[in-house]
Amino acid sequence: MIGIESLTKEYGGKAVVKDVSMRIETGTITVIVGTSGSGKSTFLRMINRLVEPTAGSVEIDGTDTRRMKAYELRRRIGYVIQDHGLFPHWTVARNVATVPRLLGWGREEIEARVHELLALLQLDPDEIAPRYPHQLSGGQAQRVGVARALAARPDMLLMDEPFGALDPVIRAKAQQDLKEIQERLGSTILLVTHDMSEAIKLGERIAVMSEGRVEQLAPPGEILTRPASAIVESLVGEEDRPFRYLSLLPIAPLVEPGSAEGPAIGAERSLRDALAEMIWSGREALPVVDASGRERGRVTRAALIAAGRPPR
Amino acid sequence: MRRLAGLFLRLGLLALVLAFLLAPSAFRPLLEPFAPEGAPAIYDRASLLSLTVSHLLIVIAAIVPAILISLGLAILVSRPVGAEFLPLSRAIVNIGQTFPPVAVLALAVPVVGFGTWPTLIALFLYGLLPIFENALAGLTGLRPSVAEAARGSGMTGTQRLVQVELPLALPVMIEGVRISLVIALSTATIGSTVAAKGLGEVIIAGLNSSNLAFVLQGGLLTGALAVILYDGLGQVARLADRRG
Amino acid sequence: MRLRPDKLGVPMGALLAVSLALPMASLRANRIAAAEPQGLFAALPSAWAAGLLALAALAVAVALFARDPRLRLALPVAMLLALFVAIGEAGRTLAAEAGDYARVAPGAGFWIGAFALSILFTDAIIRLDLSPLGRLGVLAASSLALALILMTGQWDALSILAEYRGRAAAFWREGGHHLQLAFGSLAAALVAGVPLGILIHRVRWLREPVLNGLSLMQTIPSIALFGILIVPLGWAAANVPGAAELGVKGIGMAPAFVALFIYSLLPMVANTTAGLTAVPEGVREAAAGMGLTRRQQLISVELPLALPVVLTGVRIVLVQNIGLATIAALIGGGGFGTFVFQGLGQTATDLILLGALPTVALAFVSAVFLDAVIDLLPAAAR
Repeated sequence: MIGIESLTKEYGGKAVVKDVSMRIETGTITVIVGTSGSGKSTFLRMINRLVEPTAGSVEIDGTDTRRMKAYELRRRIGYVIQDHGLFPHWTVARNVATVPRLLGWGREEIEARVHELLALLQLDPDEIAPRYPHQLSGGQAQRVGVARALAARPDMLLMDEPFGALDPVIRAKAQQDLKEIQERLGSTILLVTHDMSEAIKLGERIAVMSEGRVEQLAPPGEILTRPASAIVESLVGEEDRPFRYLSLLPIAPLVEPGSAEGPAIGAERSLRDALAEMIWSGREALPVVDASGRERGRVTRAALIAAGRPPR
Repeated sequence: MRRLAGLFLRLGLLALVLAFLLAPSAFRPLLEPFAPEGAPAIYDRASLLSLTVSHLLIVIAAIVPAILISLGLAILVSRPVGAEFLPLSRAIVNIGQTFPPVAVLALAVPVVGFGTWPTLIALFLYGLLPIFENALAGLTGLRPSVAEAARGSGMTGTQRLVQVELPLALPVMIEGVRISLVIALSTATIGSTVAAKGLGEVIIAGLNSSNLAFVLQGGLLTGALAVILYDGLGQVARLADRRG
Repeated sequence: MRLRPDKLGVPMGALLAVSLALPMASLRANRIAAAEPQGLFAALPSAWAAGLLALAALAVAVALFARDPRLRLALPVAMLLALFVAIGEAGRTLAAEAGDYARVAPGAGFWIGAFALSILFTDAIIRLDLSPLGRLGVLAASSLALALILMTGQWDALSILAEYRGRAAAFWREGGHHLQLAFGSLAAALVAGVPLGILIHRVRWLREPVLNGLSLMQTIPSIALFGILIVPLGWAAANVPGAAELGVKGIGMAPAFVALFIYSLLPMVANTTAGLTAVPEGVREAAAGMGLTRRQQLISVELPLALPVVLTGVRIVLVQNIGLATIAALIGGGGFGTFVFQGLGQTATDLILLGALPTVALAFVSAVFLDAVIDLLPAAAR
C-alpha cells in the first residue's frame, strides 16, 4: 500500500502540486489524468523523489520514503517514461538488467530474468536481447522500457505517458498488454496520461488533476457519471461521455432470453462494442455467446440504451 | 542592464586600444616594470599605430579573398552540379586543417620569398578552411522541412539559394569568418618571422631582447584586436540570426 | 556507349599532365647556390623517364574514364610510388653528374604531380567507402611504404636527407621534444579539462564565465603567450623550492608546455560539456529513475555517451598542439620548429622542409588515426 499525505511542490513560491493525498492499494492501477501543466508529472516524480517534495510525505508499506536514500528508493520502484529513455550505448539485455545489476544479482539470475521478461512482453529474447535501442521499432522500444522497469520485481511501477510516442494502433495493443501483464503479476501501477480514453481504459481508479490539485479521485464509472467539478466534466467530454460510459459496461448483465439474426457477440465485450455492431449492421438485437461459444440469449438496443443512462 | 554593461565593456576596450595606439607613451609607467633596466618600455623602432594598421591590412587582404572563394566553393558543392565533389571537398578540408599554420607559412617562403607574400598566402589558405566548413555546414544543414517547403512553393534553384538557404546559413557562415579572423590575427604575428610588417615584430623584438614589455604590448594588442573583431562579428551574426 | 569523362578526373588529369612538363627536380651546385630546374628527361635516365610518362598516361586515362574505385585507387598508388622512387633516382643521376657538393631537391613538377595524385588517391578512398579499420590499414600501409623508401636509402641523394644526415641526432632529439610537448600538454589538458568540463556541466552558472575566460586566452597570439609565460615560470624556477629540479625554467620547454596546455583547455572543456549536454533528457531521467547514484549516472551513462565528442576534442587538441609546438623553438623550447626557424634564418629551404614535413606528417597521421578511432566506437554511442 502506498500512502501519500499532503504532497506539495513549490517552485519559487508558486505551488505546482498542492496538498495532494491519496492511498494506492497494492495490485491496482491508478491513472492520473490532466492537461499539461496540471502538475501530474511533478506529482509522479515526487513518488520516486526525482523531484523532492516541498512538503508532505510518501509511505510505501508503512516506510516513509524520506528515510531511504533516493537511489535505493528508485531501485524499488519501476519507472517508464514517454520516449522510453533506453540507454543507447547498451544492448537491450544490458538495459533490462540495469537495476538487477545495481542490486548485485548473480549473472545467471539476471540472464534468466531478462529472458523471462522479454518473453513476457512478447519479444523474442534471442533476436531482441543483443540489439541496440536504435535498432528497435517504437513499439519494441516501449516494451523494452517496461521490461526494464519490471526487472527487479519493484514494489510499484510509475509510468509517465508511457504510450505517448506510439501510433494509435500500436498504442491500443500496448495498453491491452499492459493490462494483462498487470493482472497476471498483480503489479501496483501509477500511470500519468493526458488522454481520458486511456485513463478510462486502464484505470481502476482515476485521479483528475488540474492546477496542482486532485479534482476527483474515483473509479472511471463515477468520474463519467458524477463528475465532481466543471473541469472534470470538460475533460470527460460531453458528447463522448455516453460512449465512454458504455465502454465500461459488459454485455453479460443485459442478456435476455431469445434469439436474434446475424453473427453473435461475446458476452464479455462492452456495450459500446455491441452498439457499434448494431449501428453498423442495422440490427435491433444481437445474439450473445459466452467464452466457450455457447449461445446465451440476446441483447437489444432498447436495453442497451437504457443501461447507458447514468444512474441518478 | 546586462546589455548596457556589455556595451560599456566593448566601448571601453575599444577606447583603451585606441588610446594606446595614439598615445603609447602615456602607458609607459604601466609597462616599465616589465622592461629590463635601461631598455625602452614602449616599442620604438616603428609606430605601433602603423604596425597595427599593416597587421590588420594583411589579415583583411587575406581573409576577403578567402571568404569569396570558400563561399563560392561551398555553394558549388552544395548544388546538384557539384554534389559529386562534396565528400572529397569535406575530406580535403578535414586534411587541410591538420596543416599547422607555421608549416604553411614556412613552406610558402621557398616559393614566394620573404616579406608580406608568404604571410598573405598562409593566412589565405588557412582562412579558407573554417569559412568553407561552416558555409557548407550552413548550406547543407538546412532543416529538411524548410528545404522541402521552398521546393514545394515553386522556387527555382537560384531563388532557393538566395531567398532561403543563404539567409538561413548566414549566422553559421559568419561564425566561420569569426574563427578564421581570430586564427589569422594570431598567425599574422608569426608572419614577422618571415619579415612581414605587423605586431609580431614587437613580440619577436621582445623575445630577442628579453624585453617582456614588448611581448606584452604586442600580444595584448593583438589579443584585444581579436576580441573586438570576434565580438563585433558575433553581434552581426546575432542580427543576421534575428532577421533570418 | 558514350564515354563521359569523370568530373574530378578532368582537372586532376590535366594537373598531372602539366606536372610532367614542369621541372621534375632542381639542382644546385652547392647548398646556397641558385637552383637550376631539371626537366623529366634531364633528371632521369631516358628509360625511367619514358616509363614514368607511360604510367602517367595510364593514370590520366584511368582518372578520366575508369568507374571501378579499385582501379581508381590502384593507379594513383602505383604512380605515386613510381614518382617517389623516380625522384630518388633523379637525385642519384643528377648528383653523379654534378659532384659531391651538389644538392638535388624535388621540383615543382614533382610536388604538383604528387598533389594531383594525392587528391585522386583520397577521392578513390572515399569512393571505396572504407570501414574505419580499412582506413587504418591504408594509413599503416602508406606509412610502411614511406618508411621502406627512407630505410632502403632510395632518397639518400636528395638534399633534405643531406640536411638530415648533418643533424640526425638533433633531428631525433627535437622530434622527441616535439612529441613530449604535444602529447604531454594533451595529457595534462585531459586530466584537467575533463573534470572541469564535468564541473561546468553540473554547475550551470560557472559555464559561461569559464568558457569565456578560456576563449579569451585563445585570442592571445601563440608567440606572445609563449613569451609572456617566461616571466612567471622564471620566477617560479628561482623562488619555488624544487621547481627548478622539476625542469621548470623561464625559457625552454616549460613555458611552451604551459602555453600549449592553456590553448588545449578550451577544446577539452567545451567538448566535454557539449558531449554531456547532448545526452538525451529521457536517458538522463531514466538513469536517475532507475536508481543509479550520481556517480554511476556519470560513469556508466553520461561519460560513455559523451565519449565521441570528448574524443573529437582530443583530436582538435592534438592536431593543434602538434602545429603550435613548432613555435616553441622561438623561446628555446625545441621541437621541429627549431629546423623551420633555423631554415628561415639561413634561407635554407631544405632545412625548413626538414622541420615542416615531419610536423605535417605527424599532425596528419594523428588526425586520420583519431578520426578512425572515433568512427570505430559503437554506432549506438554516436
